[in-house]
Amino acid sequence: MAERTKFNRRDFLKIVGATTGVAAAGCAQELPEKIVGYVVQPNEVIPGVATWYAGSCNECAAGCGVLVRTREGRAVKIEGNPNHPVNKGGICSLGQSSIQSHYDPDRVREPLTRSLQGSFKPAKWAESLDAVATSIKNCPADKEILFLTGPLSGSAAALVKEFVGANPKVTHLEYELFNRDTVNLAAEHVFGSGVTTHFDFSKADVVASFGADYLETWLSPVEFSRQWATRRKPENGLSYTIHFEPRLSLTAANSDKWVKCSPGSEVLGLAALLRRLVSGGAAKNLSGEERSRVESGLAAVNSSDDALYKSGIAPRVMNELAARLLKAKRSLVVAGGSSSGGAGAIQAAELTNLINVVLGNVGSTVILRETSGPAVDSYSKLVGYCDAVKSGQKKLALAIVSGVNAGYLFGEMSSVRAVLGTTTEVVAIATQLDETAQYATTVLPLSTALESWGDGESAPGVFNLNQPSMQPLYETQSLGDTIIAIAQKVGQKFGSESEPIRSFHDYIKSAWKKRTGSSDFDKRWLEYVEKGGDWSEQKVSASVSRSVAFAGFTPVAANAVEGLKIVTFATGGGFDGRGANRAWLQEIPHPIANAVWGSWVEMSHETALAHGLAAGDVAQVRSSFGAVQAPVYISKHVAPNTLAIPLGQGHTAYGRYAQGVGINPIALLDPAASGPRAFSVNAIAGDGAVRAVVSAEKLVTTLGSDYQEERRGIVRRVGLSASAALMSASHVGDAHVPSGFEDHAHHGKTAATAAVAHESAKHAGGKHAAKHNDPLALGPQEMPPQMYKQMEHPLYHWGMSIDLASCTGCASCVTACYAENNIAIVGKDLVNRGREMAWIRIERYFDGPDDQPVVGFLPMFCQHCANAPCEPVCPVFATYHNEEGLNTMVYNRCVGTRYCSNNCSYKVRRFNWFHYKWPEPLTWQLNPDVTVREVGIMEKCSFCVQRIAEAKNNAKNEGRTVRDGEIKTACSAACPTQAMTFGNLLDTESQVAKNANEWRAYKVLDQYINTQPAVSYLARVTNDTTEA
Amino acid sequence: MAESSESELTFEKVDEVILKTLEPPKIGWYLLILSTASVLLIGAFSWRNQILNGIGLAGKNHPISWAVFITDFVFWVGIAHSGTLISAVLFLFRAKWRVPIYRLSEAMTVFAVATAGLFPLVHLGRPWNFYWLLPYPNQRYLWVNFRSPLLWDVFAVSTYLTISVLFFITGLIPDIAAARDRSTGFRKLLYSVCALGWRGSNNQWRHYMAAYGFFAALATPLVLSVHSVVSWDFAMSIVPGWHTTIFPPYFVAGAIFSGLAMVITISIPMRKVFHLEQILTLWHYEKMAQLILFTSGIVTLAYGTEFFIAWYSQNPFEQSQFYYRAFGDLKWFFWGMVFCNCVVPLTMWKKALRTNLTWLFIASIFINIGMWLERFNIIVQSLAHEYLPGAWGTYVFTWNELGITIGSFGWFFTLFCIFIKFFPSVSLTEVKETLPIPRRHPEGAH
Repeated sequence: MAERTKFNRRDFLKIVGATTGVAAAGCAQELPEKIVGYVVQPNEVIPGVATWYAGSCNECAAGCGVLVRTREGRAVKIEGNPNHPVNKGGICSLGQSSIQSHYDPDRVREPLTRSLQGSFKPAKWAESLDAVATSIKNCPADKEILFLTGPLSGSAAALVKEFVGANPKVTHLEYELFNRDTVNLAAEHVFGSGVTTHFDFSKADVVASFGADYLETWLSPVEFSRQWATRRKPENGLSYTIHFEPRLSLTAANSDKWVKCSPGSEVLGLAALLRRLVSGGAAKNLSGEERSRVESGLAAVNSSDDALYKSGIAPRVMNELAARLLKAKRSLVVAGGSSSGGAGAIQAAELTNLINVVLGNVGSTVILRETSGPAVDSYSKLVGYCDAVKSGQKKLALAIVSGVNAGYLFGEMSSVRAVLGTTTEVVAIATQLDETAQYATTVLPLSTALESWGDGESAPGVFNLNQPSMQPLYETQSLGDTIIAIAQKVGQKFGSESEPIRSFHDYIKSAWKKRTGSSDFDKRWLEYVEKGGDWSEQKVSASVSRSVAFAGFTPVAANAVEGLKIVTFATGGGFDGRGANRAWLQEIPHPIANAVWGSWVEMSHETALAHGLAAGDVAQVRSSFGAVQAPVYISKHVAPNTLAIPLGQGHTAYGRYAQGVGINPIALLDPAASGPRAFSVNAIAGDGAVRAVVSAEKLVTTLGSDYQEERRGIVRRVGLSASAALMSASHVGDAHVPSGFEDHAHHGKTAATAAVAHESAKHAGGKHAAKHNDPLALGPQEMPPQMYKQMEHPLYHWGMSIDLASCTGCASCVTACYAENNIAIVGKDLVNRGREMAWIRIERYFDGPDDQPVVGFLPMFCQHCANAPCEPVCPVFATYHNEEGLNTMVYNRCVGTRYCSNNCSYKVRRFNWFHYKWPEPLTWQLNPDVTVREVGIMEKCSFCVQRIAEAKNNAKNEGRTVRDGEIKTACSAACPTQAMTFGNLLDTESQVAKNANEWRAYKVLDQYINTQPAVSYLARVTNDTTEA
Repeated sequence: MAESSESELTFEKVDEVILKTLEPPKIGWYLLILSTASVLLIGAFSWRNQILNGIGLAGKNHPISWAVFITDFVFWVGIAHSGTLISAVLFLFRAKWRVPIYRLSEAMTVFAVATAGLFPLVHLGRPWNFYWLLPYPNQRYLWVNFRSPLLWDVFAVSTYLTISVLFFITGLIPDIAAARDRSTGFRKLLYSVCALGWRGSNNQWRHYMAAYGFFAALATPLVLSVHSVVSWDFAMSIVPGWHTTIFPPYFVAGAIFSGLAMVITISIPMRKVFHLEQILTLWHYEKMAQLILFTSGIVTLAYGTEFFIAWYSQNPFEQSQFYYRAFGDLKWFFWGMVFCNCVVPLTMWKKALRTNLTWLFIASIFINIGMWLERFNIIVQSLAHEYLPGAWGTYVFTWNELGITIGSFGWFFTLFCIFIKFFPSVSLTEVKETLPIPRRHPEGAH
């Protein structure tokens, strides 16, 4: 044998060693990026521990307070400031996503000047500022300088005023699409100059809204949502809400009654309402003069029932509403949104003021706030100015534009665009190369709110202070710093010798010192910075008293409302177009249409049929001023002869996520129309204005069905009339509620539904009421006998509760989840193929009759079932149940069989079909506490396990257990109405355990398939009282 | 033997006819294998793309996480089954008609399992980690989840592959020895190795017959168990449309149904090409057609039962699921299945049709398609229409997954082509067993 083995052991080992070495070297994975530690660690930075900076949100005029979470010097998330009086911790999607604008890969990174070839080339700050200053200084005597900005407040407004004061050639104009002008003007007309109106929905027993989408986009949606939600719980006295709007907005969907009126008919409705209220004796408490002013006003408008009826509002509805309003102790009538477009906008707002006066709401639900200056119609002012320039009455030497995307917000034929196009020198102070920057000869890069100092007043006595939470990413400056720099170059001096002002920070500080007094200021300043402002003297709900100074309505231009009408509407995601560069907002479905990445034309079935359109078609919409084309969304929830088109898309510039997505309906609007164009405009389209065109474009939606189908009991609601009995009988299992599907008549299956309702009623009433067998019972249920031993949870059993009574479906939680958990963006094509990665989705169901849909919103995410169907089927234990009740997901162990997703009854698991990547610097936003998942693995809601771990660490350091309320998941923290509660179900005193034991509580599907979810939903309470 | 009439089979004739199939290939065979190998390459290329880019290249989505690949998997496992049924079960029952087709169907079993076994890998999100599904000892104490039906699948399919390969090889030994005795050169070497020293001694025959019987007995329960386990991938879940106790017998019957159809699909052209008319007679085909008719009846009954139970249970999810199957957006897949699996086999009632090989061939293709559709309907339609209506979805095919599916046929037929040219595709031994033992002819005696 020995001779035959030519191969000895040593040789064998050598060869094996060499070959495996080669094989290993050849197959070696790419080495990870080097991680370099701090050489000198800054005092305030502890690697792995987040630093939070308080600030304020700059996205809309509401002025919510925010907290910015930073890790190792990078801002990673924006949350609401729980101490801020306006939003109290809630935050909308737009506010949260501003961080994506901050890290937008297409941001302006350095000053740019237009080269002779017409393209931008980099420039130096000093040179660019010199050039601007020179242009201002050398402005010829016959020419002017236009300084156009978004609405400014606080120190920025003061600074600009000072700058304009020192440079008389400069005209400062402000414009914003969704402005307060209508509200301000109407308040001034009714209550005299120097006041404007604000609203408190929490005090109103009856809320009637004419077009104002106060839950999603109108004025201060986070604040209003919170106030509204307090009155949607039966224990607080349920309010009655009615909404008049041509299409189903988020507010319409959440109202007790939605009246599908035709566009522009809100004025008629308000007039008819006022007449009923006056004749019902509501004006009795007014002084004689006030009453006569109201009555003379009423005489001046058409309040006939005939006109009302024509506009799609049944006079009966108004009778009933008037009766309710007269009976209610406090009520609130608001107008805006769809009604603030077009000619009757101000009149509608004036009418609401009069109605509120008549009803005695001023001072309680309608708050009069003092304003610094007279109300202006900023749209008319800007257009008027530009018309003058266009016609040659004025000549412009220079236009400086900042914070308002005029190139996008005005149509091609508008004089504003013409002025931008013809002015020889246009300076854009901008974060992005948006449509306005395309007109610029010089672009000065602007810092975002995360990089700059700022302040403002969001309510009387509520002064916001915004501090930078990180170093500027690029060579950028805040608007204030840029103005100061230009002004100094022009020769203007700021501050005094003793307290020189070199930066906008100094400017703000001196302003705050002036306002709050100098004693102990430096210490207080730190407090302000830490808190994000000063609201020690807040007067949020304080109203000044004014008597009615109404002297007649603003005249309404004749508005022939025949034929097709176009309604443009705001969405929480796109807003006025500023949200379009944020991939989160593009990918998160619109709450009602459920569409992503694009625009659509909403129309009723009849309208579609009349114009030869069908679902799946692309419609071309043409007005006298322009044409757009977008996919058709055929909805049962649009007024007849109405085309509703969302605003905010259709960018031709503004970065990779915005460009080429959807359409901009502003192109359809009359550029010469007068009046404040706040939200939406009714344009009249002629014959053949809508037609199908050939296009591959598709409306991409995510929901599988608009109806929850019979018997599933997914989104449940309970009528107020039934609730009293149920509340008193709220022992375990005693509550039985047929889930509100009685009027549900889809697919002609009502017979089956009725049979089931009957069947379950028998269960509840029968003597052996086997509670767990009744799939539609409300309230805590006995656990049915289990075949297997249940998992024990020794210390914590994490769970959540969702109060559907206060959930508006705004999807702020979805945005928060994307931001917190590094959820990938997949784009329109992959969403179309069902591959969106959202860990929470809002399931939106329509039930009830078509003209009065009962809309149910259900935030659906991993239910962390105690009997999770996903767990036993994973062959490699990549998902398992831990002893804190979490259904955990071990990304590293997952091989991607996807069986867990198939077996998940809630379909909340998401698979990484591809390797999704973020372009730099969006990667900076990624939460370092959460793994970025790779291709081929499953992921899902983790109950923000990283936050649980952090809280447990803190508790452990302090030798205690985690307190109730200490952990807030990203979704529950963001929720404007605080509908989501997280906590320990084992702690009977915890809020979540209390909620789970409420009489309204139910668990989705649990009674059918015994999954034992850790998430309880509280049924929505509907105001089904018919008596007025 | 010269006296034997042409039509009568003799031992000599059997050897001649069957071993003729092993003669050096002609251009036709090269063209055939070229085409099957090209199809295989399409599949390989598509799989490469999928590994490089992600499983997203297939049409799967949320909520349909399993689709074409698992359909292919079940389809191929099903194909495998009738091979074992014919070779093992019918062997034990001494059904004579199995003799000429059993080798073919056994080869089909092995290659079909080898094809099916690829699909769980193809469908993994991270196929490079496939070995995590095996319970191997490791220092991190990571273990597999024995509660998961997918793990049972791993065991069932690997057991099945092992047993059927051994059974297949065992049956081949005497025939390879016969081929060895008649060949030269490379083939002589190949067959000598594969014959494992078979000399045809009495003692070897005695051991051989015992071993063959044992393997047949071992393989028989696998016919039932493997497809039952495969059906548990679905039945053990709580997906409406999957969660049903009817699945194991339903799947086994369906497997035999589809396997028989595949045997017909393969053997009819082979019979023609290799002139096996005397060995594979119409009588054999009629038997298979009758079994197809019978199993078609079982699957039709199973389809009906599913609908009946959905109605009878009054379970809203089941009802909705089966309403969707028949009238939803993928309804044509369902009605296509009904046509192929329930209507087409009805023609087998007529003797003229079940003995018409052209019609049998066409019908077998329909049944193959129908059985693929059956699995597709079960898998995709059930997932598309589960509990929460908001999460319902639908399915769109992609070229890449169709490429892999077509490639699997390329893989299967390439293996088959190689097999039929190198090994006797009809059992010499067993065909001879059916013939009368030849008497030594007086004139032939010396």
